[in-house]
Amino acid sequence: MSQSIKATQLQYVYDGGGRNLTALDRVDLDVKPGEFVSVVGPSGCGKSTLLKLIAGLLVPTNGSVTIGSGPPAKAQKLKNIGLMFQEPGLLPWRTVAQNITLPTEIAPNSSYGNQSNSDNTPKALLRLIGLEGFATYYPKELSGGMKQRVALARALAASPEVLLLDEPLAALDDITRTSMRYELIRICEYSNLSVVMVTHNLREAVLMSDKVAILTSRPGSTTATVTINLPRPRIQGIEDTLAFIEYEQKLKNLLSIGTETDIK
Amino acid sequence: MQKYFVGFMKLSSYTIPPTLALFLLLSIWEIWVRAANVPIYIFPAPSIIFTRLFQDMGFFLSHGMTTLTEALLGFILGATIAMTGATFMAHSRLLERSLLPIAVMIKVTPIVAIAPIFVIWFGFGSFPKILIASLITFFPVLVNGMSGLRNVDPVVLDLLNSLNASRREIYFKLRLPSSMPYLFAAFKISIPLSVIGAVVGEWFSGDRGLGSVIIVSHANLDMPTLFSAIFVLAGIGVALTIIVFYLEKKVLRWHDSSVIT
Repeated sequence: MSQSIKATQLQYVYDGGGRNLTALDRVDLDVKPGEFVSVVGPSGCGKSTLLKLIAGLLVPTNGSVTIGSGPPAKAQKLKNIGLMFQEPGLLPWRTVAQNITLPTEIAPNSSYGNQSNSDNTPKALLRLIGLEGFATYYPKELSGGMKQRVALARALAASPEVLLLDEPLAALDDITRTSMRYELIRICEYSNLSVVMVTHNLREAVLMSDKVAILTSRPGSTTATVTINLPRPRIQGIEDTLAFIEYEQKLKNLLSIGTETDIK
Repeated sequence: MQKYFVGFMKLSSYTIPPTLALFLLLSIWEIWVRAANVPIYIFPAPSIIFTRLFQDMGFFLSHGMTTLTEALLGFILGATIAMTGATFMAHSRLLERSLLPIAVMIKVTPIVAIAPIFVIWFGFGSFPKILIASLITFFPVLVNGMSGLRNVDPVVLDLLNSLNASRREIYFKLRLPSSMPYLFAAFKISIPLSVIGAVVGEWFSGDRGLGSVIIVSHANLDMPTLFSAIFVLAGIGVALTIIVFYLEKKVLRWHDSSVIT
């Protein structure tokens, strides 16, 4: 059962030795259960900060963020958060299988625990990401795309209800990136998770999301949200349809309003 | 079968060149000493040294064992205390700020000054030597340990925090394994230094160990014995270094830094 994510008038100020930097100012985000929402915006507009606030890794200076009915800290305890970054961040001394099971080794602090079903055993996850047979490989033997897929499997290992992705495909080459996009879509559609994905890439945002939230640059604030009404499941070829291109154009226009015309 | 042959060839390529070079060096030494008629009490020829060494193998091995034991015990003691200190200091900046300057002060005080003090305090037994060896080991392991414990992958740290991992879990699953390469770098420095520490300790006290052999033979101008002791020390040093490199290769198999040999 996936959960909703809600950010209300979120504000975050970096307090670095006397210098205050307002990273986010009045950010609102509304993710319904099972929705896939992308957050796009120029470099430095605070997208990663937003994600960290949702994950409970940072505490907001003002405003609130909730996952389901409680704060991120509660979701952390229930291990409801799946996290993926631009770098895979695998532990080099562990095999692929051991990396995937890392989240399940962390002791749950709540009596709720997590239902472990047959869907998220290491074997099932390896099959899901298409790396069956690689269980005993070490990270240094894998390509970039493979490492990211392992990172995705790891994010799903504790059966989270919420998936937070910070430019997960940015470090990949174009070909791998394109195929990974469709894999991610497939996995997210299948698991029915609530997803927030930060990305620079407008095509990616339109392709994968139900909604796209636009964040302006410093300080970051949500200026607009575009609902993507494209049919699901998203299949190959949808990027060439008129509707898709129109959405992409719309995002481009929305992003060039404001001081920053340069997306990246 | 072919795998063993390849392994043998590889091992030979690592051991044969330095052995040949050493042999060449010793030959030059031998020839020069004989040709220039250097007196035995100044610079003996390798042949004389090796004769002395093999004549009294038991003597040198027994003293060698003493020094080696003191060095290793000191190393283990120093490394354990240092690692414990590094663990606490890595988790607390206040602790680090308080204790690190003291560690530095200990480090910069030369052991040749500390050794006689320890002898006065702790007597002529093995303990002062073990203590000196542990003191020498302490600083490199402490500093490298702290670096290693702190220098972790921020992605994994964020991941573990998002799962509400405890500090203990983070320590054992992330920090400690991450610190292994740093620790081994410190060990490679500390182990030879521990041997030196034990020897220096023996200079100021005691009748056991290669350090005392050096002192006594020096007083008697017994150069062959002196050099034999030095050769045995060198042998110990090389053996320990090889062991550390081998262990490092096993433990850090996952690390992509190129280990020398």
